[in-house]
Parts: sequence; C-alpha cells; structure tokens
Amino acid sequence: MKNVDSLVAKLSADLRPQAPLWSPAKRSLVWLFLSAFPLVLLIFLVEHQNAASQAEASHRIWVGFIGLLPTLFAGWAALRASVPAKNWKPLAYLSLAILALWVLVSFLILPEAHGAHNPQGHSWECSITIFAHALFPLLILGLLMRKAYVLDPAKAVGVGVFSSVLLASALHPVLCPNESTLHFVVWHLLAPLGALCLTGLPFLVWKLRTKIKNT
Amino acid sequence: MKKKENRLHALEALNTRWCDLLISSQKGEQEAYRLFLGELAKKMERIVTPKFQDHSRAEDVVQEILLGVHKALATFDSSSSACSWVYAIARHKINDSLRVIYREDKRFMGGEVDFNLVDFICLVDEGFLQFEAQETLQELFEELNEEQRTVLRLTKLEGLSVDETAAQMGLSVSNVKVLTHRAMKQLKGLVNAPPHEGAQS
Repeated sequence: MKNVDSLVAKLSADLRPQAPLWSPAKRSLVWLFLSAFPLVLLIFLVEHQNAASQAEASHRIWVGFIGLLPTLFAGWAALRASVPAKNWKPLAYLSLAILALWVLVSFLILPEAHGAHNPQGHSWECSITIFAHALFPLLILGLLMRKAYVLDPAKAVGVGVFSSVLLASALHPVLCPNESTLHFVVWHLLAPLGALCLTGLPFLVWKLRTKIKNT
Repeated sequence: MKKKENRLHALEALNTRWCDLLISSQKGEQEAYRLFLGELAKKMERIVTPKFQDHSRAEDVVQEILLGVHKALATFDSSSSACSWVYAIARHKINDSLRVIYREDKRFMGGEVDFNLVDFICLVDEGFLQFEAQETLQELFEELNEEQRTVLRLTKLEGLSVDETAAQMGLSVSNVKVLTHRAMKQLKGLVNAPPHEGAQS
C-alpha cells in the first residue's frame, strides 16, 4: 500500500501542535453561560420594563431556572456526541427524564395550574419566539463543535437543536406573562418536542431503510 | 481465561503506547505521529483487507481512517482510552464504506461490522497471534507424558536426528520413531479437540 505510506508521511509532515479540546462537560458549561447570559440579560431588561409586579414574575423565574438543568444535560450530550468514543445517550435520556420532572414541577409551581387562562393571547407567538431565541445558543454550540470531530452528524445536530430549543424554552416563561400551565406545556414545550421530532424523523427513516437493506 | 487475560494485557500495553504517542503528537512531535500512523495503518490493513474484496477499495478505507484520525487528533483526551478512540473512528469509517457498497451493489450480502474491541486490537496482530500459538502449544505439551515431551523437544524443537535422540534417551531408533509418531498423533488430536473447561478461554 504505497499510497498509505505516502499519506502517513504527508500527514506527519503536516502535523502542527494542537491543544487538546476541552472536555465536553467543561464546554457544555461554557455553552450554557455564553448562551444563557445574553438571553437572561435581554429577558430581564424586557421583564423589568413590562412586569406589573416582580412578585408575579417570581414563579416563572423559578420555572425558567429549573428548566436550565435538562438544558445543561442536553447540551452536554450534544458535545459528547461530537467526540469519538464518548457515550452521549445516558445524558440525553437523563435530560429527557429531567424534562419530564420539569413539567411536573411546573404544574406545582405555576399558580394557575390546569387553567386555560390566557391574559394576553400568547399562543403560537411563544413557539416562534422560542425558535428565534434558540438560534443564538445553536450558533454558540456550532462554534464549540467546530474543532470537534463529529462521527454521526445526524445525532449530534439533532441533540444540539433539541438542547438549544430547550434553553430558549426554559428562559421563555420569564418573558411570557401567561402563567397557565396548559399554555406552558402546549406552546412552550411543543416547540422543543416538535424540533426534536423534525430533526429526528429523517434520521429514523434513514436508519430504518439501512436496516431493511441489510436484512 | 488465560487467553482472555493475555489479550486484555496486550490491549492495555497497546493502549498505553498509543496514548503516549498521541499525547506527543498533540504536542507536535512529527516522529511520534509518524510512528503512530504507521502502526495504525498496518493494523487497519489487516482488518480492512478481508472485509473488502477490492484491494484498492480497502486501501481507500485505510486512508479514510488515517484522515479521520488526523482530523480528530485534538479531540483525543489523555484520560480516556486511545484504543477506544481509534476503534470508534475506524468502525465508523469501515461501516460507512460498507454502506456505500450496499447502495452500489444491492446483491452484496453482509451486515455492518461490529468488532469486539479486544479482538479488534489483538486478533490482527501477528506477533500477538504467534505468542498465543506458542502458549497454546505449551499447554498442549503438558498433556503429553514425559517420554513423549522429551522426544518431541529433541526431534522437533532442538532439531536432533533420530539416531542422536535415540542415543541421548537410551532407546532404540525404532522406539524413538514410534514414540515420535504417537506423540505427534496425540498432539494433533489435542489441537483438533474442542476446548474443555479450564484449558481454553
């Protein structure tokens, strides 16, 4: 294999010192800080101007902060998926489990649980705002993944989109004055779950087709 | 069990070696990197060639693996296993190429490659296989009686003639011939016999 020998010689001649990439855990914290900080700042500025009373917003702030936990795990899973030989699935499942707990806690924290109260007519606008806010964390995640080596882009991008939408979704209750739990579940969580399905569906179809081909 | 332990030791030794070479490579030491890529290329050739009937395609896959490792070098974390890291990249590249073959030739039958990590590292290493064969032979020698062991050692390992062996053992030439024949027959039977509990892993 002469070509292989010449490739080995070429690659070793081209080698330049390169700093090892930070661990996915460290990078996920950086991602959360860089993505959440500007969003939190923006949201708090808007909230400060609009909120009738800070006491009303406190429930929603708590819901938002709890929502950062599954976001952190989802981001961590996405960054692990971009490094060879790192198992990301347990973190992704953990994130989903905490997401379910988050919904449960939201039912307890939000005062108008089970209500369909909709004071300012927020509905699909919330979902669109969440998607728009998700672009910034997604960009940061993309930059953090740039130096990594993604073996399976479909999975890494899928988890990455999910974590970004989850982050925007976690911070959105602070901005949205509608404290109805029904509204929160339908319009705030519908967005990340919809994104998950949209990004995961092509991958599932492709995987199924490959399996059928191999049998 | 002994074989399994030996393979795990070999894996550990290779892991340490590759880990050191990869850390040096990350620091920009070209010689260490050349050594690592050379070793990896040889190992990959032995794995990939039987999987792809087309030699040039096998060579392409080995090159893909080397390029993948080169691009991913910064992601290697010295606290994790070098073998697992290489294995993940190689397995992905091999399966990717197999998928291309399925798409091109629908008649091609075969599943994705799913190596066991230990086999992936050890079973393609000629030196390791030779070492294992010697160990197995040593185990089988223990099953023979003293006379048979001696006659095989003298005639087959030390290369003495039948006359010299007969003189050394104080036996007749025909006796040595019969002993050698029976010992070889028994050894052949032991090699072909299914592994029994305790002798093999």
